[in-house]
Amino acid sequence: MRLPGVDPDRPPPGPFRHTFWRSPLRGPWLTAVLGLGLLITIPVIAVTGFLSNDAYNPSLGGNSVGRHLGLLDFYLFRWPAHPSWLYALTQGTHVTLGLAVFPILLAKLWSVIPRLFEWPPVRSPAHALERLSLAFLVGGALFEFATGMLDIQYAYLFKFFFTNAHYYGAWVFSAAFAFHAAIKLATMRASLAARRELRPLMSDLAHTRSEGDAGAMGATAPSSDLIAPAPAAASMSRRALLGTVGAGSAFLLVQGLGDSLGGPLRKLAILGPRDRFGPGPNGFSVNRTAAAAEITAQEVGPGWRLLLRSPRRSLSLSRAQLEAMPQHTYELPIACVEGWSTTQRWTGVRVRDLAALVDVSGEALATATSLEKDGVFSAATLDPNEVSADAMLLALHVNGTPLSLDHGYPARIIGPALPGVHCTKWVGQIAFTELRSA
Amino acid sequence: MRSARRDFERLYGASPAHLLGALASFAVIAVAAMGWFVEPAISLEYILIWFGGAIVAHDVLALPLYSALDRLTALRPRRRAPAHGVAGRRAGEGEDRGERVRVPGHVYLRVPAILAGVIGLVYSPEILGKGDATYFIASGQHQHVYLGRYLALVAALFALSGLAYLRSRHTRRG
Repeated sequence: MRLPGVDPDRPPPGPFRHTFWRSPLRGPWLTAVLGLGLLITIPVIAVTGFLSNDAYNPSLGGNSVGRHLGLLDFYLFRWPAHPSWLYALTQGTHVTLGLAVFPILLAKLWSVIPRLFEWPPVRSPAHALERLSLAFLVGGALFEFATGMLDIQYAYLFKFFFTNAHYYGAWVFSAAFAFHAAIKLATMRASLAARRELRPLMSDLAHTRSEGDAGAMGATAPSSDLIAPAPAAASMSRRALLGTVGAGSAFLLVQGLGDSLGGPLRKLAILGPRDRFGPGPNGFSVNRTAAAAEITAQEVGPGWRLLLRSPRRSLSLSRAQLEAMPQHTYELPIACVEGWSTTQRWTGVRVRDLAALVDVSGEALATATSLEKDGVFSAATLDPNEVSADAMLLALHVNGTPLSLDHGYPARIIGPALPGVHCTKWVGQIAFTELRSA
Repeated sequence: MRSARRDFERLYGASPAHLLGALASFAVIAVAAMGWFVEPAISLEYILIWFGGAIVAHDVLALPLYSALDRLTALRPRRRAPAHGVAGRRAGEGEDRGERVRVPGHVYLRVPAILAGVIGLVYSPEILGKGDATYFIASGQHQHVYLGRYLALVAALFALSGLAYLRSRHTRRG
């Protein structure tokens, strides 16, 4: 296939000419090692991301926060309510690994940059499709990373709703990634095998030569357009380059782990967005202050009542009446979609006991609505296996003391494997909808 | 049959499975992209700015810029001491004599700069306080601590690398 006006033997000057590229480190082996790193991590990031969407139960109530469900919203299983740390694990992994993989992504893009200028620009229809797909692959990777890291740092510089953009961006990226991995897998394996797998890592600077250097890196080394035809002398070894990339990833990994695992690691997460909180039993992260939610002292004073509703009856309970009910205590994390989590000891009334008070005993949904005026997550609908879980609480106390106002006084939802924003604070009403009566 | 396949591969440039894979991938991309534009819609303009902008920012701006910066730092030691260091060495030279090759000085700038750059980019919103208003609403805290912490980290990275440089220049080469 030939493009009109394009002479395959006469590339324009500059980056379109092979001799423009001088680094002796570029070559199929380096690209394959970095590609292998991404091949292992990106599917984990993608799967945990899609699991997060699943955990939100977007088909229930207003849980999709405005997103219209379409063809891509198929769910292979119901999000479980056990173990309690499940969402903290999947989402901590998603965010932590998503950050840690960024240096590898940048190095991978650096290793293949000559391909952006390959000449002729299109060799065949297959090549044209591959290049088009690469626009979605590279654009998708950078878009997902950029929106994700802006979201966890609260910098909404974009004028679109994060959830929609990041979710559909994930599908665009995943589809392009799957195609790319499928067509490049054989190349990756051959490139690693040709240089005897990880052997090039043993070379120090003195022994670091171009992959095109005959015999230097394996006699069967195939030629590749990634190899500079006239390389400069190496100024760092391959292992030094990969070590630098690895050090960057390790630092980012520690930041993410500190924010999600907590404990002594949190002290190491000096740039993790969530490492500071006040003293005392209520001294742990919040994601919406009472002031921001415009909760007034009057609303949560002695006159506060919890309204329980079902198709059969309605009931109003004071905090004293709730405290008189059987109390249960569980260690449960607040696990935020932003990747941080914090595990505390919560005490309160089981949500299923509240359901029984309004004569609901079968499979039921529960929609908890906050007193807050206009929050995107001012209401959340819990699915039946969440409603019936032992540890699904309307909490009144945390760590042995009443909830602070910022943590949702007089009462808040907290439960196992529940995304943080579904742990509705300052609950004013819980409405039960029966799916099937017992 | 076999020749039909050969004709296809000659015209298309790859196997039929490649074409099927490409079409399946683009179909998912098309369905996903439609999701962007149903209510609450994201305007095409913004998606193009962010999606295309990310590619341009990386491929056309960031990568050439950091490559140029690296080349600029590499120039000085080469001009000063062409006989020493790897920058003045021809590819492969030194190895044959079993000699340990000295890491050129600018690499001791390159490595901390890469780390400071990548980490700074990842945490740039909070370091620059770009999300401070929203962060305060959410957490009741401010983002201003991060700039100082980041600068301390950058200083530590360059200091460590500087120590490594001094050590490399004061140990006997052998």
